[in-house]
Amino acid sequence: MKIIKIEELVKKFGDNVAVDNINLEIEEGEIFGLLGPNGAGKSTIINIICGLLAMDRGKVEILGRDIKKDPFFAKKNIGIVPQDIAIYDDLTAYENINFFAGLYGLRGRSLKDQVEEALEFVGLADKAKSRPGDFSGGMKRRLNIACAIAHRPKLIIMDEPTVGIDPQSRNHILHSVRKLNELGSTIIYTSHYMEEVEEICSRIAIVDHGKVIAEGTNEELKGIVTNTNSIWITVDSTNRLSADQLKAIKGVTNVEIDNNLIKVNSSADINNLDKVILYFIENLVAIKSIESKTPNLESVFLTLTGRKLRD
Amino acid sequence: MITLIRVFGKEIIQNLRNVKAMVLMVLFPIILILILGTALSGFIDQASEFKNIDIIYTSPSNGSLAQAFKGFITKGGEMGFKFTEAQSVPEAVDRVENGNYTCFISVDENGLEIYENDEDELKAQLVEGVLGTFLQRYKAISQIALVNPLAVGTIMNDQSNPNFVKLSTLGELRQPKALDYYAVTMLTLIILYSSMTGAHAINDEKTAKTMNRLLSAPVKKYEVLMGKILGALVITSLQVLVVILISRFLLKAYWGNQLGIISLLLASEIIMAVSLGIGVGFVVRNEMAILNFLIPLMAFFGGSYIPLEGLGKTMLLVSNFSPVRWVNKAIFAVIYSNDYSSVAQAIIINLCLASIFVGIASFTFRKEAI
Repeated sequence: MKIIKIEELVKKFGDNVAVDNINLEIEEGEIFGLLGPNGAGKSTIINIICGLLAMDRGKVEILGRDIKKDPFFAKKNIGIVPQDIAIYDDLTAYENINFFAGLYGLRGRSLKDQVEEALEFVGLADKAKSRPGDFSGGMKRRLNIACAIAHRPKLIIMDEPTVGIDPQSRNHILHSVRKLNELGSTIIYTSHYMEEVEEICSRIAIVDHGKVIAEGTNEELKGIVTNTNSIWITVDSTNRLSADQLKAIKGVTNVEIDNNLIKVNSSADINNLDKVILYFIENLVAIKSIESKTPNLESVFLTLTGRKLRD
Repeated sequence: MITLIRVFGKEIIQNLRNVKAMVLMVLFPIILILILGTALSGFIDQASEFKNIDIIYTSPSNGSLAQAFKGFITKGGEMGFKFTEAQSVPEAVDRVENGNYTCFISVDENGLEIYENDEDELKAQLVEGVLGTFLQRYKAISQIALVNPLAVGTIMNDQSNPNFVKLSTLGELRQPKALDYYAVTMLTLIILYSSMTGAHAINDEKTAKTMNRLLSAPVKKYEVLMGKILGALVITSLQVLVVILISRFLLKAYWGNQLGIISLLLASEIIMAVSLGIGVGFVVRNEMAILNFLIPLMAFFGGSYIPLEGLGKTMLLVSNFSPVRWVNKAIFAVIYSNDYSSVAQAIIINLCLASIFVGIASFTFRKEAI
């Protein structure tokens, strides 16, 4: 069953079209990635789904029901993990989760049980009576998640949940996402970190300037760039190099110089490796290493937009 | 309703845990009452004595009310009032307007009218209080006359017991000392500061980024708003109660015998102040700056820092725009003159202002959260 169906969704802020005729369908049980740079429109889409923003045009259905006609039904079935940590510093961890879960209709014993379950799930059971002021950044992010999942929503939306945290907490969160999915929740995971999206999402939509520019599984998306070879060359110095001269070599589609690392993308059907290396030799540029890179979502985005995800 | 209760409960817990703010809201007025009540006692006490109360009047030479009024002149004279008979009504009104007299009393067989000088409000209220007591006695005697005209002569001629109809209010008339004055005005001032409690209720959700999380839940916006307003009301009421208890029992400030009516007045001001804070919190970004500008203005024109009597007609006119002015006026009238005529007016003004602020908050809240 489709848990979300978005049809021709449009949202404008003045002259800026933040969401530009988006169509998306997400099946129950998926971990669906929404990948795109800052300002692509990911958060706007999320806010419309959660009922925080009104759409200008289009239709959004959650579990078959229009969110405009039955907003409370949609909200009852969604748990949101916002990008900014949204917890009360003057309430304990338990009280935070208890408060938010209570807004979803939970009462009495079931409320207590589910709050404790959420604390246990995020590894904060021993910190139930502590206040977030005493927590590390990673612990606050975990509490942020606990507040979203205590009422056992069918759909969990996680908006950039790993921004600004240590690798250990990040891994814990990614592990939690998989576990939640195994327990039956559908997850929408937004991020501009393609490594995370590649790692956990079953299907991905790449968003840029309010449009979905590509959608599919990891393999389907990478298939867009299988006609591209990517070579990374590390050199001593780039003083004698010119990106324009490299681009002039037949078959080269894109050149990026990042300190002493040169990334050269070429069409797969033109074998020009010898000519690229010859260019370095002729310009007396010492090569320290050469790597052939397999396509990733970063290269997919670069191919589709000419820009990097984190530009 | 459940959302309202949960939000209300959360607000109470959060406010009670903010010990610094709770203590400040109680200590601040108590300290001000002590400082101002001591420092300005000479100024206030002199202004509120029965001395320098001049009354001009017209009264027919005959008639039962005129006769009774003579008794009032005698009684008032014993208390320190000075009476002058006017030649004409226009002359008397003129003299009151020029500040030569505190008030003008016009007596005829149909009744009695009092024309007051606004600049001497406190003194005028004292006169009203004594006059009110006199009228109660007169009415009582008139009723007895209707039933038994013969008995009236006995009552009126009974010099051994001039208080034949026992009027307990007469003995309780007193003037406010500085401490009494500031006990009231500092309390109404601190209630104004509870608008910050209201503003914080909104601002803190924005700072903690929890507003969107709150609104993404299946909740009705008006329940969230009402939960916050009720939470701020209860917390402020608690603080006000503590201040009244301390000022009454520790500092011995005089609050009269009508604490129920005074509580209603204070409650209406609390509702107005909290609603102001919530309304401002929704509409402007820098709500604290706005409130820090508005509160001292309203307080000054409400007579919180010094009594406005004697500062001129313009000042008194402008002071009518401060809701605190109406509350203070009504409280003093209740405590010192048993006069309840201003109570309804003050409550209605506060509730109307509260409706406007809550309306603004509701309208703004209905719009997109982001």
